Amino acid sequence: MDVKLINPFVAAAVSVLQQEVGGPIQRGPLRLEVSPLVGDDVTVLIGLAGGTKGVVMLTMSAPAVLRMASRMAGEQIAALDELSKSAVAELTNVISGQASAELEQLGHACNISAPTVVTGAGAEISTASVQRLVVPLETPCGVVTLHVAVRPG
Amino acid sequence: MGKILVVDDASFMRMRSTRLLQEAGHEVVEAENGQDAVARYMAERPDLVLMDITMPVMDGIAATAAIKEYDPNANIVMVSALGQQSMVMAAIKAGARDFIVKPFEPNRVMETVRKFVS
Repeated sequence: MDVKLINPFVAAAVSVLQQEVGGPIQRGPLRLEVSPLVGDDVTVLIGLAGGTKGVVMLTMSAPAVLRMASRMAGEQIAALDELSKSAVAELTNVISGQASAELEQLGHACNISAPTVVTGAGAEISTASVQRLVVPLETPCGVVTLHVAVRPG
Repeated sequence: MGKILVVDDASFMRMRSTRLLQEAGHEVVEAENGQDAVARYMAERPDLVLMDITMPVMDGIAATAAIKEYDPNANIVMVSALGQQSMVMAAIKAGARDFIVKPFEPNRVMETVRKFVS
C-alpha cells in the first residue's frame, strides 16, 4: 500500500471534520485490514477511478450521524432520514474531493463517484484483495471510522 | 435582492444553501441535477446559478455549457468538492464565472453571491 496515496485522505478527513463538526479530532491507532468491512449503522462509499483506483468509506453510528448533521445544519436533526444521511454523504464527498485535488498535485489524478449510503449495522463490504487502511477518528460527535483501499491506476 | 438557482443532488446542501440565501433576502429555486437545472433556468431566468459538479442524469459541467448556450450572459458559479485544477479549468471552459471549493463556508458563498447579485 502506497502511503503517498493514503495520506491525502487521512489529512482531508481530519481537516474537513474539524471544519464541519468542530474539533478537536483525535486520530486513533491505524491498522491494515483485508477482511470485509463490517459497517456501523451508516456507511458512505465513494469510488475512485483514473490515476488512483479504489474506494473510500466512512462508517459511523446513528447517534454520530445525527450529532454531525445537527452541527452542520446548525439545528437539531433527530431522524436518521434522507437529510441526515445526505449530510454525512456530503462530508465524505468533500473529504474525497479534497484528497483528489492533492493526488492530482502528486501526479495521481482521479475521478470520484457520487456517494453511496449503506444503512444498517453489520453490512459486509469487501474490497477484495486490496488492503484497507482503517483510521478511527474521535470527533465531538462520536467515532467516525475512515477506510481507504486504494492503488495506483 | 435577486433570484438564485441552487443546483445540488445532495438535499442537505440544497437546504443549507437555500437557508443562507433566503436569510439574506434572496429568492431561491432549486434543482437536483443538471438536466433539471437547465429546465429551471429557462423557466425562472435567475440572476445567478450555484452549480454542483458531480450529479446524476447530467453533471454540472454539461449543464453549465447547456445554460450558456441558451443564455451566454448567465452567471454560473460552481460549488464543488472537486478542487482539482483540471476540474476548475473544465468549469471555466464551460462558462462558469467563479469556482467555490467545498467545505461550505457561508462567508465565501455570500461574498461570491454579492459579486453577481446586488
